[in-house]
Amino acid sequence: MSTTTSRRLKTARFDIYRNMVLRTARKDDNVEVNDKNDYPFNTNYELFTAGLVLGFLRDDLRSESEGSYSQDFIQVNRVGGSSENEYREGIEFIYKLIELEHSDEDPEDSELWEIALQYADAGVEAIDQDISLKDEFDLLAFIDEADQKWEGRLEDVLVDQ
Amino acid sequence: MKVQKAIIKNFMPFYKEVPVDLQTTSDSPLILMGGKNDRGKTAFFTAMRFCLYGFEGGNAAKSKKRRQAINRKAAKEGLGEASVTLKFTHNQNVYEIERVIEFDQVDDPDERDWNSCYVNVKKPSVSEGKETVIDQAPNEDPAKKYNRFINGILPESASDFFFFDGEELDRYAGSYNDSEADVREAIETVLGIREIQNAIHDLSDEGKDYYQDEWKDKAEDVEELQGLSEDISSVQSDIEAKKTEMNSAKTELRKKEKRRSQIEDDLAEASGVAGKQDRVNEIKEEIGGSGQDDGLTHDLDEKRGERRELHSRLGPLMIGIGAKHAIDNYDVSIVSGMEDTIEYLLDRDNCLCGADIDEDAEETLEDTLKQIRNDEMSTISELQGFASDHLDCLTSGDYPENLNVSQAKSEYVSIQENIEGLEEDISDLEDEKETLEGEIEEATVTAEEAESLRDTKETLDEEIGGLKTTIEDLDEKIDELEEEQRELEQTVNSMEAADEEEQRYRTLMKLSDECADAWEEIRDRYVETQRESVEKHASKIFQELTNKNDVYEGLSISKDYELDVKTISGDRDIEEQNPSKGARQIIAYSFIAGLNKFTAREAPVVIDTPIGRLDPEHKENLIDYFPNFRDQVIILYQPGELDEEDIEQMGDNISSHLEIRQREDDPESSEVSPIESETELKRVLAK
Repeated sequence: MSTTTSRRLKTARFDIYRNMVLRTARKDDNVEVNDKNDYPFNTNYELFTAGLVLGFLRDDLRSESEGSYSQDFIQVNRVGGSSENEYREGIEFIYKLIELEHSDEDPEDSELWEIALQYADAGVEAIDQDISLKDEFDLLAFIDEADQKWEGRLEDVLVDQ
Repeated sequence: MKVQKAIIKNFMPFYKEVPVDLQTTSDSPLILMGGKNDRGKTAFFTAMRFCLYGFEGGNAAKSKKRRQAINRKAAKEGLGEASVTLKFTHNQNVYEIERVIEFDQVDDPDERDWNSCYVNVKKPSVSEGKETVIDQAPNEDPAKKYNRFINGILPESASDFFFFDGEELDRYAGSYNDSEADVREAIETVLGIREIQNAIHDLSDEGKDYYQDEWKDKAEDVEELQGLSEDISSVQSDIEAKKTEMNSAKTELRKKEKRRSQIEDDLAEASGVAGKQDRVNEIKEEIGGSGQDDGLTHDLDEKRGERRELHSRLGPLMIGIGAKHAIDNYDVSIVSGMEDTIEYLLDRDNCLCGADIDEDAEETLEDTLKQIRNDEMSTISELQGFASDHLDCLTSGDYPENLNVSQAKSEYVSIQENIEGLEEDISDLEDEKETLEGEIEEATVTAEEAESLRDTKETLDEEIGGLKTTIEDLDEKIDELEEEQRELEQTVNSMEAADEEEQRYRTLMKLSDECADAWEEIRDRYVETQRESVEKHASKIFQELTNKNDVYEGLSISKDYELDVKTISGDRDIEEQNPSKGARQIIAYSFIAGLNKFTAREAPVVIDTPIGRLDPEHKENLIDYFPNFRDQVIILYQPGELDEEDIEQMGDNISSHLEIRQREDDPESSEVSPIESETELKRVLAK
């Protein structure tokens, strides 16, 4: 298995990260943070993780993100700090699934990670769209979507092996 | 007055009730009542006068007479009352005069005495019985009301010419010295001259004096009137000034009350504002809290924070679902099952289907086994390893243990409900606050201004109180002044006539004099006319009555009603002529007859002992004249005064002939009964 040291979280939709991640917004001089609760995520990796899993579940890749990544946040192995945490382990779990799904293609780690980044951007876009549409963060809808899609998605990945 | 009946009760010799019918007719005007001495003729005469006038004299004399009038037997028996009642007609009215002497029982009649004496007058009622005209209280003396009544019929002063004793007539036949002034007055009363005299006196003396006094008063009043008018003007000025002052005060009062009312409205509004402000502050505290850790906003922030925590865990939660699926739904044991089968087959020579397992087949089976063991197992196992790691991190984080996805969902729902409730509460409170703040903003009075207004109101209250007191005082003062003005005006009004009154009294004074003069003139002429008439008639009667027609030609009456006789040799006063007693009696009868002819009074003539000293010729002439005296003549005679011829002479002129005699059953008492037989007549007439 490839190591996580070369994998860095990136996005071609940093604008969405700026609007949805508290720390990112605070760092931007052009953004005035009035209420932290207006930002659903504290860190970029939190949003990245949510976007990654949503993009994976929908099998939705934002291919246009390739080559357009304007910001990289953090290495995967630093996500959540030095100790193990649900975000890093979650990313690893999805990455593993991606790896399994594309195992017959024998891709490089970078190619697999590129897929993950595209999944993440697609998922981040979907979350942003959902919030814009509903004017609220509908967590339960995403959870329900996960409930509905995981079984089929795992079959896609594992049964076809 | 025409007497119909007399009822004498327990009076002098008359014991118990003695009724006497005295009715006469115009053709038969005479009533004869004969009786021996000491039978009660004079008592009857006295009774009639007593009934009309009471007894004469001072109190002592009256008292004695009342005592003596009580019948002795009645006193001894304690019958209680002695009375005389006269029933008569006058001016077409029927009257009853009853005069009563009350007494107690005594053992010795000499000790008898009276308790009370009174008179009452009654007349027949319109319905039944009698109604009281005059009811004099017992012992009320003089009886003013009664006197006024009887003076309207027959004044006592004139009664001597109607009720007289024949033997005492000569006092009228002569000149009247000063002590005979009452005789003069009596004559004038009979002829109505007294009334004229009284009118002249009233007019010239009392009337004029009265009007003069009144005029003087009025003249003073005129002067006073002028002064009062000035006083009234002064008072009116004062009133106007006070009213002006009061109006100013009222205007000022109205202004201040209006201002106070405005302030009260503002204060009320301020009071409402304060309440609203308090509520706003409550809301702020409820929303914002009193410290850092309370308040709805704080609670909402907390909940939103909790929700945000769950938001941020979206990725791990969604991955957790997949991880659990990967663990729960993918059993590596399936792969080991295939491994076991292949291992079983490798140990056999034949497959389950019966086919031989040769070296090629065995190699294939071995390769397959190797592949299974190396690729799928490791992959799924490795995946389950990641899944398991993830789930471990999911449930061992900051969140409570065993927080699985469903628990996270439940918690999210709860948080979301809390947030929605808090937001709604905050929104409602914000709305309420906004509304209140809007109202507060619209309010015109702030709390500070309200304090100032309260001070102002307090000042106004004092000023208003002062003004009200001032107005009350002024009102009271105005009332007093107006009352003073009214009194002055009333006085002026009553006196304003003073001018007219002064004129009037001046005129009345003059009129009094003129009326007095006129009445004097009338009186003089009346007196002269009356005198002439009386003289003429008296002369005529004298001529009829006298037995010396050859000597006497008549009577002459002076203006003082002194009599002279006209003789053939000239007029002589009676003293000079010195006729006999009998002649004097005739002169007097003539004079009385003359007076009665022209009297203004209607009354019977009652004569006690009519004949007296008259000789037969005089008597005959007199008896002839009796029916012409009045329309009712009552003659009380004693035996010897009249004889049967006299009775016969009077003939049909007699309405009734009565006897006053002793009672057979009680010789000390008398009774009156009609003479109905010759025998009785002879008895009465017998000397």
